[in-house]
Amino acid sequence: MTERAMQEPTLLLLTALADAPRHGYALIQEIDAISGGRVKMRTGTLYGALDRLLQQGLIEVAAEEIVDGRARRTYALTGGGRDLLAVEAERLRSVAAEAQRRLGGAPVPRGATA
Amino acid sequence: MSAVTPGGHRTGVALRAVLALYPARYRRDRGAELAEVFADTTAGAGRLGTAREALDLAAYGLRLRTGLTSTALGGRLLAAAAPLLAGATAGLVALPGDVRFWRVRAAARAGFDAPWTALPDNLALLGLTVVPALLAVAAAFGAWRAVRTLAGTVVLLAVVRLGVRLATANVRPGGPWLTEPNVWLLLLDATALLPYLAAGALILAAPADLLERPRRLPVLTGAAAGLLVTKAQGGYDTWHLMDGWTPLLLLLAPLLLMLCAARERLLPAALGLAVLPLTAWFSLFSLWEQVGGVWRLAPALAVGAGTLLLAGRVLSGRQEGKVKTP
Repeated sequence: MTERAMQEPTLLLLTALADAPRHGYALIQEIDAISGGRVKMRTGTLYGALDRLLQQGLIEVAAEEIVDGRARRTYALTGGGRDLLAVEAERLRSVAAEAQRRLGGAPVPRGATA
Repeated sequence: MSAVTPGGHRTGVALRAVLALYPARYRRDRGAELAEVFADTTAGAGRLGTAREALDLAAYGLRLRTGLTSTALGGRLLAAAAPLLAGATAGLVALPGDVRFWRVRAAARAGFDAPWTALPDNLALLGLTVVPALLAVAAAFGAWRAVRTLAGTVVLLAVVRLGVRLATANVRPGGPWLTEPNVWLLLLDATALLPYLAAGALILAAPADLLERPRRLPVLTGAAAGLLVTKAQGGYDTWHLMDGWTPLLLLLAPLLLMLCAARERLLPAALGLAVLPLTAWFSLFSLWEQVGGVWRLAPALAVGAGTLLLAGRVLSGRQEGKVKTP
């Protein structure tokens, strides 16, 4: 699993679940926010990814409830998912650090990455 | 389904139609949840946004229904076959000495000076010469978004050529042109175009989340296999049809390779899946020719399909037994 870089939708999805369990629409909103509006995950794509991550044991269903008459299932990271995300975050951090070092050590201003 | 109301009645109807594509069990388990998320994402999204969302939801339903998700065996097999298919499609290229080569050259020389009635077919023919090569290059470099666009273009061009063939053959039921030679010619043309259509459609059906890396070796292998079987078949539109056991071999060998999927051996199965769209049509056409008609071919096909199904079940049964053993 750690042999190759994680695909961006998977990374965004796991990141969106890293601080708290979330339901489907909240995940779409979080991914939109984390990616700075660049990735707008659609419902079918989201559930395709959720089903895959559930099957891989990287996430789990944390709660199933009815809120205001609406079915709501909340998803959370498993221990394996948390470990995998940590490994990927470390890999990205070291690449970013190396990129900054080669650029002369000057930190890139926030929002100037486009 | 109360969630449907924010999008209005039309959205509700569309959503019900889309959810009907999902397997009943999945729909029972997740239908309400999907409807909620769909309602939230399409609230104030406009018609285009709602249509895109509905299409995406429908696509996943179809994947679940057909077993082509990224976790299902079918999806994983298609993903493994996608680079091979990209190469194999490029392997369909017309080489000097092939009848198709002269057609391509004539179309290229005529350019836009060709009569307008011939222009769509000429352009589609030239497109089917260039686009598969680009498709293979894109797959070799791992540009899968481009691969999918190019695969869609290949499908479109093949449909255009098939449409032109169908329109010009004029073989309407009961019409004066519904003669055996005309039908024969139409089917022969179709055998040269269906490989593009099938290979392009299979690439499009591969789960996008499993297509990520550059795949140079599989693309090259696919191209070599494509060239080999195209040559073995005489370039699809030769006047000398395959005789003897060759059509049967070119039909059964990829099918037998595909059975390896039942034992989780995806690589040989993927090779079989990549070659089959190229060989199936012309092999069936040649067998039809040899046997002397569809009805005479039907029993042989039924026996063949039954044998393959049985072999597949036996293999998958053995595999399951193997997995269960600690």
